[in-house]
Amino acid sequence: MGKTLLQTAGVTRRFGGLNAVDAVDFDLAAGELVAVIGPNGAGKTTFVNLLSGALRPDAGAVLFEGRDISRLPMDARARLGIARSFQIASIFPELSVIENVALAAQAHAGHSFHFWREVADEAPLRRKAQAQLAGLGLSECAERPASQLSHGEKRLLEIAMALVVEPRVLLLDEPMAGLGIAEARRMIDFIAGLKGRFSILLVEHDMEAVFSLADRVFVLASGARVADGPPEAVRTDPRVQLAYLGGEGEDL
Amino acid sequence: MQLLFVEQLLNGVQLGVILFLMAAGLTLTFGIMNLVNLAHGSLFMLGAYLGVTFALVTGSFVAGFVAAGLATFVIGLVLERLVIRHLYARSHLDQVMCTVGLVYVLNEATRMVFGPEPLHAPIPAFLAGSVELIPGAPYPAYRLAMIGAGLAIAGLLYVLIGRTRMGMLIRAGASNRVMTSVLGVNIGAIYAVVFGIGAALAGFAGYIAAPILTVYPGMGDNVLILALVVLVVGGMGSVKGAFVAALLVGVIDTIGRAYLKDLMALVLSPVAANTVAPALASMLIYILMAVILFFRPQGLIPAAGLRRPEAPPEASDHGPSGPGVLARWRVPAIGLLCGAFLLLPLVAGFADQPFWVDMGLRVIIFAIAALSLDLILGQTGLVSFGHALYLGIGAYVVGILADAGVESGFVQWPLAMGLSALLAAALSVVALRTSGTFFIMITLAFAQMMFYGASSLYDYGGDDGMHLAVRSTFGGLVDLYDSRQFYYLALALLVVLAGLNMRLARARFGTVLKGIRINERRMEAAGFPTFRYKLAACVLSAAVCGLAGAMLANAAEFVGPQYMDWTRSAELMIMVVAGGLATPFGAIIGALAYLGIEKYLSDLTIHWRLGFGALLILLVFLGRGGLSALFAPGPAGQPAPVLKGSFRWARPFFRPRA
Repeated sequence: MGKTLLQTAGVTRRFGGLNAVDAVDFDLAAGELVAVIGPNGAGKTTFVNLLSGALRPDAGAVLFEGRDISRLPMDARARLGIARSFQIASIFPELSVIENVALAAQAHAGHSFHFWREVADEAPLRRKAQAQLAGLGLSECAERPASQLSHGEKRLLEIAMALVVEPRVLLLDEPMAGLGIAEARRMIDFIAGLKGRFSILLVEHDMEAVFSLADRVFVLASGARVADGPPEAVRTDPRVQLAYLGGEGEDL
Repeated sequence: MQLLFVEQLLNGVQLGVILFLMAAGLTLTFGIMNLVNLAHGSLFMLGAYLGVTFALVTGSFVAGFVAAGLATFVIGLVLERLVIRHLYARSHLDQVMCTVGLVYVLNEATRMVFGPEPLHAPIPAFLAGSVELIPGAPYPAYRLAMIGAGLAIAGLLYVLIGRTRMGMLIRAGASNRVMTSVLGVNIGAIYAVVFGIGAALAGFAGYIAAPILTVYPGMGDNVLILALVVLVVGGMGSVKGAFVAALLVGVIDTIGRAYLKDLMALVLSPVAANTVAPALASMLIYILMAVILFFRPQGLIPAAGLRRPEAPPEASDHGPSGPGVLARWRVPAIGLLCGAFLLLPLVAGFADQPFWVDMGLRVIIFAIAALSLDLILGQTGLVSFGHALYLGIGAYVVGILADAGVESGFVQWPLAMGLSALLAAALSVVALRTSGTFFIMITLAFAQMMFYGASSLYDYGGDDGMHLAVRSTFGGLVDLYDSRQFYYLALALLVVLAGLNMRLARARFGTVLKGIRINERRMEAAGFPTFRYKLAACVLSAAVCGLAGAMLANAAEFVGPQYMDWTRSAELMIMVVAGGLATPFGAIIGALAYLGIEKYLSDLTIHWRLGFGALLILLVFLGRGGLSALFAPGPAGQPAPVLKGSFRWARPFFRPRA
């Protein structure tokens, strides 16, 4: 594995009296795929939000290549190369599929204060988008409105929007949620194909996906780190089993 | 001096109490039902009218008090059942449009029943004297009683919400409405009662304020806007915040009006202080609001434990809709529209109806203003409720320059645009820190701030405005006194602006605005600094509206604060929504339809606003997509007409929008 790319040091986020994420130390090396798992309410999505910049930490820091990015807003972090997908597929339903991807590409292709030239004529953006869609097997529906895609295709489209900008770090928040068995299989294969090319943080409930994809598994419960290590070691870790079985009165 | 200060302070508290009674209802309905209710001011008015009438008939002030509360409670329940209930799940834009419609209906109905003359509300005999709170400083007993009554009602409200079973259900509904109804509580009934209570509070406020205010149709609108400021300053959905903010706003407004002139005279020359102080005093609370929001975008005391209500999606979140029922007539309709605009002066000449040209000019000017609003409202999804502000700025620039002897349009018009843009940049930096409902109210409050500011320009006619001494000159190129030349100049500008608008919508900038409208969060995650683009859209839109204002001043040969009135902002919004969002065609036919219906109805009856308000409510419930949706082409992906290379620039104008 390469050097550390994304790191947190004691990062904490409170909601009222609840420490949703509580002094978590985490690191992600270049080219590594780390799965973050944990029972419901463990703070996984909050953690992703802290990394992507959707939330600011109350304490601790988020570092990208050693630089403190805790105060940077989401868009600035995206331009640094931290791309994310959302737990609930987040696309532009009124735009066509290719427009969705081209719009994401546009964010990383200089400013958008162009008032005259048509976007549809910007060949580099379209080429990038087409290449990305081809890689995901979505070429046939490129011109269809994104609202007409199936649920699984929307998930893929969202990942295409994250990938088109060639990010350094990919934060995937439950990409398999709500997918059928065949679609989930397709998604696992696709993510497996991304391994090594990007640093990936994968939040997932699907244990089959987690243990077949992850280089390392990071377990959160009640906002705190419970375990962090190779998949096999985590699988047999009694603390993890306790966390999942609700030994501390946690809801399952 | 000190005694006077105590008196002013009490006056401020008394205004604050009235504002609290108004704001309490608004904040409850917003916090619990996520409803923006602009008809709240009309309930204030109804409380005053009904209560005073009942008091005059029975001869009992107390009976009037009870009647005002009961009547507005019942009216509130009826409104909730008939109209309001259907708005809870709608976008804030729909809520604004529909409740503005209600304001038109209720105010006009009141005018029909009670007549346009103000109603005199006597101070009851037992409160007619004055009380010496401090020796040597008599204070009117009635005003003191107002403070007492207001505080008593506030106390009752506190007990009702904090201590009773009913209040517990209300609080439960506010913090989680789905869970509450799952638990078997009839959430619909709670909503109705909450709306009724809010209405009754407004009714009480109207009644007790009646003897010191003028009772006339529309009296509630100014109070409503102050109450909205209170709501925003205090934190929406928070009753405690509303109480603190109401007293703060009441006292600062009163003290500012009383003492700002003396304070400013300490540092400025007396003449300067006399000119600036009244304007500044009337703008003081809006400045306070801007400062507070800049540092605390959620208001002073955000509603505790209340999860930030998820704003219902603005506009649609569906894919492109199918073709409109008149889609095959799209090209003929556009052709007819263009032909009509082009030939109107000739036809008017033949028919010997020069008035038609003036009417057409007015439509064009408002179409330009609506077009500018559509850039932020339709394309970006920012519900700005203060756009008429820039109409006024543009007009005042022309008026003040003409007064100073600068008559050239080449100076006036660009300056009108520039100053509008500059002001929009400053105001939007504050306004864009908020979103959703907050944005609606802040833009409204800013426009109102400038309205009062302009009303205090005593050198330029104050409230009444002023006659424009001379129309802009264009070095002999265009003579605005020739109505045809003016008409064609405006038409040319409209065509150019509509064309630019369509190009822009398909360029990178427009695509970003569209992305922000559909899913701003996703845009940020993709790496767009959305604030910059929204700010640019606001500035651009204000500049174009400033141009429309400059033309309006010339066309009407009049400049006045009326151009910035909040009803004018509502009109622009109605034009855009009625015509159809995010298409220049919509803004144009919206302006045409609005002014046409206004002309037709107002020729028919002086009570035309009644019918107009009803139309507006119907529009919200039936007219999805506006008039232009009738002519909408099918979904994107239709083959575009083949255009040769050198005409590629024109392609956007001939291809349906995605």
